[in-house]
Amino acid sequence: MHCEEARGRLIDRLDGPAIDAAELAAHLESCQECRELENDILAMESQARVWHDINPPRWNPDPGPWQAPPDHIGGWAPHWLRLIQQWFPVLASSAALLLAAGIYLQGDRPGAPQAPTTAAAPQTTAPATEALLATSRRERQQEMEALTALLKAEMDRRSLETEQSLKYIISHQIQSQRELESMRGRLMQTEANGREQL
Amino acid sequence: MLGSASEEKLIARAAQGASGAWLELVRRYERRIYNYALRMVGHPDDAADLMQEIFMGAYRNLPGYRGDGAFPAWLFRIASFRCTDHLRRRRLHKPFDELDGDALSPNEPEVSVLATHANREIAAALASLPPEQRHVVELKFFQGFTFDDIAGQLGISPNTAKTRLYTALRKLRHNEELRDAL
Repeated sequence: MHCEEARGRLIDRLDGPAIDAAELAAHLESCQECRELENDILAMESQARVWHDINPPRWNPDPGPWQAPPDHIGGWAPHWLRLIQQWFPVLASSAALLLAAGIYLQGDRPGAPQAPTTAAAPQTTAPATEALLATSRRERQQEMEALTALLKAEMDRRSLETEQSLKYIISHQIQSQRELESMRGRLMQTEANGREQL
Repeated sequence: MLGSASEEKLIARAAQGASGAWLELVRRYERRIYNYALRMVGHPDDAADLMQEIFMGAYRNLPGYRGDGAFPAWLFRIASFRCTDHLRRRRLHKPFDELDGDALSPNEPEVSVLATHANREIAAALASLPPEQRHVVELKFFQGFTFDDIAGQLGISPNTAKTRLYTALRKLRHNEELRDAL
């Protein structure tokens, strides 16, 4: 048995007893790498047993404030809302049918303006689509602007921090330089005094 | 009375709007879901929020549950989806400085409420894995689902689930927290 096959069977064994368990056991005897995988699996199984379940915090699972199941008229909604929920689809469909019938009948009357051809149809829907696209573009634009502003603020903040750090480092170095020069002056003075005494 | 009712009956009644049946279903699974969420996100507050989101999602989708599979597998499919979404959102909203991994130190105050030392170490070890591998480890070792169930819950193939598990195990091999927990 190859290592790849053995590893596959070790993983598969998590779903149930391995086929050819003897063959797998023989391979594990001789293969350190596959034995390590078996140990990893055993370690994870132990870990799962070691976990101590924690009680969830108190909460209110009452579905009252939530939305009722979509295809069911919930028992928690007020009566008038349930009536609306129940009859809205029927009323909306009826209204749409009446509107369609009205448009059709008006178009058939003698002297009535010709119904728009199929080629004209896109012209009637185009403004609405355009408006929708424009709104969507505006929203995307606003989101991009907000993101850009956020990035800019972050970059400014970091630039400021870097500038302040550099200022601190430079001023610290200048100060050190001055101290060194002062020490050098004092040393030279001491040396000169020593020579004079000699 | 409700405690002895079969799960299918409870689900059917809950889907018809019986709040008592729904509360009984929640009572049966909230501890399991909360601990799942805790291991997945590592923060008790986030885990509590996630648990509520999962049950809310389950309640709204109850009419879509056809009873052709086990209820826990269906519930955990919702949980996996919500959890993935939560981790993605958290990653998006993290400040730039914190984008270098989800790993939590076991000493952080957020995990200090985890009951035992072992829990803290396990949470930290799991947090060191990428979410997609953490999910498979959680569903296999802590929830005991089959690879076919896991594949269905995560929308991947069973072989991908196995590969993720193998990679995660190799990654955890040298994990000090995990060794300490055992």
